Amino acid sequence: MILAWVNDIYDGVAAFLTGMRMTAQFMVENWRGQGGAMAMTRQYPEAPAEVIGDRVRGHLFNKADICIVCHECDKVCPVDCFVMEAERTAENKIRASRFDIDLSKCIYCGLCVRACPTDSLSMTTAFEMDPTDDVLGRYLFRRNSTQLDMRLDAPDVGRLTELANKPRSALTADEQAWLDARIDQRGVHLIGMFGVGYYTATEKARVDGEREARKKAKDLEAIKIRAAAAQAAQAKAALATPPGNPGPQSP
Amino acid sequence: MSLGYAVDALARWLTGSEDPASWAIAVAVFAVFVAPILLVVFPIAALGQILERKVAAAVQRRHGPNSVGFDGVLRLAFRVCLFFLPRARQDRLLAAFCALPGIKGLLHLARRLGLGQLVADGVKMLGKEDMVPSGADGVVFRLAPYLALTGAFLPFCAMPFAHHLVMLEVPVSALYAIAVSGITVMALLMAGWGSGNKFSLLGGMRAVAQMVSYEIPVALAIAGVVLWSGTMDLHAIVGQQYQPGVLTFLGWNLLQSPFLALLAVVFFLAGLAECQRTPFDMAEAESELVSGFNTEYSGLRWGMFAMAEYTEMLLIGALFASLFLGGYQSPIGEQWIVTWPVWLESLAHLLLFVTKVLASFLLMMWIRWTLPRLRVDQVMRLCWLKLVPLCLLAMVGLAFTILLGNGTVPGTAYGRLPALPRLDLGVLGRLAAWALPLALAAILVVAARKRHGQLHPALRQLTGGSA
Repeated sequence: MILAWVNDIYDGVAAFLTGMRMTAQFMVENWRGQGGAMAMTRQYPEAPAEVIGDRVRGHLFNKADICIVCHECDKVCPVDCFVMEAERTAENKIRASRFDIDLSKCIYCGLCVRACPTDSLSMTTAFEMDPTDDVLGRYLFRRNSTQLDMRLDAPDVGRLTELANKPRSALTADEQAWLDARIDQRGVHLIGMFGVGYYTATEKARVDGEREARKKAKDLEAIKIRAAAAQAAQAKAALATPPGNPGPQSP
Repeated sequence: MSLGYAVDALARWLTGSEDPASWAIAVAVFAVFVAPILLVVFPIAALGQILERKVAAAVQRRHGPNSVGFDGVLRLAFRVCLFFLPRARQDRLLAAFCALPGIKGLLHLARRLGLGQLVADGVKMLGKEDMVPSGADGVVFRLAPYLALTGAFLPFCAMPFAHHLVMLEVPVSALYAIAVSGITVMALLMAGWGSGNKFSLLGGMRAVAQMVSYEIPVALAIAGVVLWSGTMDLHAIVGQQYQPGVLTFLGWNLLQSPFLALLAVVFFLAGLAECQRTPFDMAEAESELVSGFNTEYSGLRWGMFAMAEYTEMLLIGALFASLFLGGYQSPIGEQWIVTWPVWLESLAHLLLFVTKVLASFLLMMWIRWTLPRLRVDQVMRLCWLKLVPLCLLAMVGLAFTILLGNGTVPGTAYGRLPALPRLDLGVLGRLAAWALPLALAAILVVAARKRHGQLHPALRQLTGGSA
C-alpha cells in the first residue's frame, strides 16, 4: 500500500516535470524568437509583410499595350468597377485610351482575369493601400491627383512601376522630375496603373449616369423583347387553336 | 507586540523625543504602511496582469501584449497639463519632450512590454457598469471584495520587507499571517452566497472546501519551519537563516534538511491552491462555473477580486521567501550589506526580497500555463492523501533530525536581532541528515516503481516502453 502511494507521487512528479520541461522549452524558443507563432507571426504594420506564394489575389494590373478593350472584364465584373474607353492608333489599331479600375469597389474575385482573352489583365501580389498614406494611397484613392500615363515604351513602364512604388522621399531630384514629366496633369487619356478611380466627382457622376442609362435602356429593350415574344407566342397559340373551337374533343 | 524599528525611528525623529506622541506614531505607521504595501505590493500586483499575459504568451509560443505603450497617456498628460496653450503649441512641446535623449527608447520599451495595458485595463474597469444583481444579498455582495482585499493585504503587516522595514513586530507573526489570510475564505463564500447565482454559490462552496483543506498543509509546513528554528516570529526565522561568510545561501532553510526542502515544495503547492490558481482554481473554473464566485461581479469590484488574487500570490511568494529562502537576505555576502547605512541597506534588502517574491510569482504563472485544471475530487485527494501525509512525514523526520543532533549552540547575532540558539549537527551529521533520508526515499521509489510502475505488456508495446 505504501509502495502504491509512493508510486502515485512519483507518477505525479514525473508528469509535472515533463509538462514543465516542455513549456520551458517553448519559453526559451520564444525568447530566441524561434518556435511557434513567434517565428511565423509578422508584426505587419511595423515590419514588412511577406506575400506567401504568387497566387495571392492582389491589386489588378492591366498591360495597356496588349489590351484590346473588348469589355469582357467589364461584362463579367460583379461590382462594375471598370471604366474604359477605346481609341484608334495611327496604325489603325484599337487601344485603350482609358482603363480605370475602381479598387474601392473591387472584391478581388479574379473573374475579369479569367475572362481576359489577351491575358493583359492580371492580378499582382500587391495588396497594400491606404488613402491617408502619401505613398500607398497616392495612385489608389486620391481622386484629382496626378496619375500615371501608361502609354509609354516598354522599358519605361518598368522604370515607372519601380519609381512609383517607392516613397517619394526616397527618390532623387532627377527621378522625381522624370516621374513628374510622365504624369498627365490633365487627367485624361490615362490608364490606371494600379486601378485608378474617377478623376473628379462630376466625372464620376457622369460615368455613373451613363452606366445607369445604359442599364435602363438594356432593361427597357429586354422588356420590349419579352413583350414581343409573349405577343408572338400568343399569336402562335391563337393560330393553333382558332377562336370558337375549344380544341380537339375526346372521342 | 511592538511597532517596527522603522515606525519607532520615524516617530522619534518626528517629535524629537524618546517618547513620541500618538499623532507621530500614527503618521509614522501610515508612512511605513504606505512604503511597503502601497508602493511595493500594489504596483507588483498590478504588474502581475501584464506579467501573466507575457508568460502565457511565452508558454504558448506567441507574442503577448506588445503594442500599447504610454504614448497616448503622455499626449493626454500634455493636453491636460497645458490646457491653456493652443493645440499646435502643445504638440510642439510634446515633440520637444520626445526628442530628449532616452525618451523615445523608453516609450518604445513600454510599447514592447505592453505596459500601457495597465492604464488601459484600469480605465476600462473604471468605465464598466457597477452591477448588483436583483437577486443578490446586497450588503454581503458589496462587502465581499473589500474583505478579500483585506485578507490578502493584512498578512503583509507582519512581513519583514527589509531588516529595518517591518511594520508590526509580532512574536507570533507566522501564525498571524496564516490566521488573517483566512479572511479570504469568508470573502469568497460571501461573494458566492451574495451573488444569488447558483454558479457563484458552487464556486464559493468549492473555494471554502478547498481553502480550508489546504490551510492544513500550509500550516503544517510553517509548523515544520517553526519546529526547526524554534520561533514563530517571521523576522526571527529570517534572522536565523543568516550565516556569516560569503556563501550566505548555505544558511537558508531550504538547504538545511531534505525534510525542509520537502516542506517547501508542499508549502508552495498548497499555497498555489490557497490563492486559487490553476491547476487548483476550482472556485472559478471557467469551463464549469462561468467564472465561479465572481461571475456576477463587474467593474471595480471584480478588479478588487483580481487584485486580491495577485496579492495572495505575492503573499505566498513572500512567505515562501521568508520561511525557506532567507527572506530579504542576499544569497552572497550578507554580512557586508548589514554594515551599510540604514537607507541603503533597506533598499538593497527590499530589492532582494522583491526579486525572490517575483521568482515564485513567475514560477506560479509558469505552472498555471503548463498544467490543466484538476477535478474537484482530485484536488481534495491531493491534499488529504498526498500533501498532509507528506507534511506529517517531514515533521517526524525533522523531529528525528533535531533529536539526533548534538543539541544547540548559541547562534550568530544578526543586525539588531538577538542571537537565537541554533541546532548543532556537525559536518558529518549534516551530511547524514541529507544522505539518509534521500537514500531511504530512493530505495522506496525504486521498489515502488518495480512493484507498481510497470506498464501492462500490451500497453508497453503500444507506447514503446515509456510510461
